[in-house]
Amino acid sequence: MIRAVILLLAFWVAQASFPAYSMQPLDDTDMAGITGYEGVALALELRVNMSESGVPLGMAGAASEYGTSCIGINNPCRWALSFANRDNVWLVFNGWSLALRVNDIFLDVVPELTPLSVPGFNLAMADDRVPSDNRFFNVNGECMLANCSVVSDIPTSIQGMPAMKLSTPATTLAYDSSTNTSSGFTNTQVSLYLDGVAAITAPDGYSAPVPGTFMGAQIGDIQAGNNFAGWAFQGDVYVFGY
Amino acid sequence: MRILGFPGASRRFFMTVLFGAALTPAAGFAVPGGMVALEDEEMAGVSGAGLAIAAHNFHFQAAPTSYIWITGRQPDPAAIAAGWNRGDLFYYGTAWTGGQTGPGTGTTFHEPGVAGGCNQNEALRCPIGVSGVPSFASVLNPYVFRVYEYPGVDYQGMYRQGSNMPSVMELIGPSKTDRWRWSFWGEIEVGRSGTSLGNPADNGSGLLQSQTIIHGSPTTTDGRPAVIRYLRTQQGNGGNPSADGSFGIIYESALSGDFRFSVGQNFGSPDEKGWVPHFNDAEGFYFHNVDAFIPIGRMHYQTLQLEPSGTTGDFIIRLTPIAPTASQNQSSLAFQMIYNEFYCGNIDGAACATTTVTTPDGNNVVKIQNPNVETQGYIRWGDFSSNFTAPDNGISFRDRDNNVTRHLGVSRIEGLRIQSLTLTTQGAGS
Repeated sequence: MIRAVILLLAFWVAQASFPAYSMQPLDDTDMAGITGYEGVALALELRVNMSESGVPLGMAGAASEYGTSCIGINNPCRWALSFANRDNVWLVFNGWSLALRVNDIFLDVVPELTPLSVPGFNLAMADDRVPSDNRFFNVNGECMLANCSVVSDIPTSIQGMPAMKLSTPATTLAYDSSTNTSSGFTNTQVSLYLDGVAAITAPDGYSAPVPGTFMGAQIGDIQAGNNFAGWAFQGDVYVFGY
Repeated sequence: MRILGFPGASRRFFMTVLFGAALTPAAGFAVPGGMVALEDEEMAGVSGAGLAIAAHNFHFQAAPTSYIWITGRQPDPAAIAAGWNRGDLFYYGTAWTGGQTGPGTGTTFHEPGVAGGCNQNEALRCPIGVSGVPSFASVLNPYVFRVYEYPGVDYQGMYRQGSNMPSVMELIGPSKTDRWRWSFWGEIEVGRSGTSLGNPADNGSGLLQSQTIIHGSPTTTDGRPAVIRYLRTQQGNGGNPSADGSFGIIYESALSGDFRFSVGQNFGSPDEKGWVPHFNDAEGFYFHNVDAFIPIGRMHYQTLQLEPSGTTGDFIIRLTPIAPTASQNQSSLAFQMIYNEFYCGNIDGAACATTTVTTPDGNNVVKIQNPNVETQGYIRWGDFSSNFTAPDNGISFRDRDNNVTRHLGVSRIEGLRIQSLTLTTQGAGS
């Protein structure tokens, strides 16, 4: 029983114009002006077994139109894992609901990972372990980076590499002690409800009755009426292949 | 439609970055300012060997009112009769921030984002850094995610090498980072009678609020990174080693730094369920100069696996015993291959070389001459190379005025080798 709403919004500076009415297909000329000049922003909302306000289906306060309940020992809101050659053994995550909002991630490209393009670049942080332990060397002791044969080549080699950069908009973080409320923790918002985990031995263990579960968990916020935990991410993340 | 609105080069860059795909030549173009297109030669060095993830000036902070709640259960009647109560754990305001010290560097859960409210000249007195971690994982020393093959002794006691090496999927942490500050404040609540946090009648009768701060790095002092590996285990028979192969995990835990656990609150602190406490900035239980390496599992003969326990829903997390199969008795070559690799790194089954040392009390003791340091864990609380009695070396307690009231000294566990480990949950049936 999974209901997911995925909203993937990509914004870019486009010269194309869109009709105000109904949805229309784009032709090649509509897309020709897109240069990605200002990068890409991603926003995502994912909801599984949970109402828009972050309340598990069936719990007081959740919209009733979904017609199911994630509350109680044998509810249908579950997922299960079974490993190879462990037939008929299921690790069941029982009574789970999740809502996740990623409000903004900025995507950009860094052509070269140099001190100028990477704030906080520090040569002293290089992996200088011997080839047999070094992440950039293979089991034969050969460097896997371009223009690299010994450990001391690594910093120069990396500086010639391109990377994808992820960052988030700056936020002002605050806490009001008179109302016990937080503000500014808006990069990511999460609401999670998990009744618990159970190991069940049965061919259909993923849907079999749950005798009992171990260790439930919830993620949320103590503020009345706010079911979403607020998380702030700041800084730059670089992803590159080698 | 093109990814990023770019032709050729960028799309391939994305594919290369995300999937390690090989590059094929085609023309790129440059855009002045803003996002820049990549030239093909810029991608020519990418071989698809691995995916690297680096983070600079990184900073993660949950709202001080946001929680992760490990929910408790009402005990069964027999447990209640024996005096047991329900217990719940709350972790609020988890923060992963910069470990810098000095003016303008630190703050508390009460004033996130604004420096002050604690003594900023000492890292453990402020739970939150105002800035990010400069090199959380440097681009020169990033997290590496890859599928890789390693030589090693397998479950059958066979040394696998060359074209016969098993594959593992692994995430390798950095071997050097700037120090970060990891902190949260928490509640242990006893006797909670309901699930509604908004209803005071549901609150338990017992509540302990605490603060936990680690100022450290996910590496050992000598620069070993933390590593996690996922693999298919090879537990079958000699003819078909993967007959019963299943999912296994190997984890090499590495952590170094200083730690503080405190419960003392300032006068005027709310001292109420769910309200962010105003913790005293000095009081607490301190561990300085901690250095820990704990290898859990070994390629390719020992892994962490999950199994069910009975029919109650409980489960077992098992670190499989080394040399577990029926045919591997002490005189078999397979047994010797595995045991001698585990203890001294010999890959040919040869017995470990020994040496005789004389202990301070005059006894002669035979020990392994060159132990395998990759399977040998340690936990050190305190710096054993410096003054053991210095109040900030090792384990100590401080009062509200920052006086060291008790110094327990330094302590360590060395030569920690885990041949097998079984952890069974017991609470699911209630």
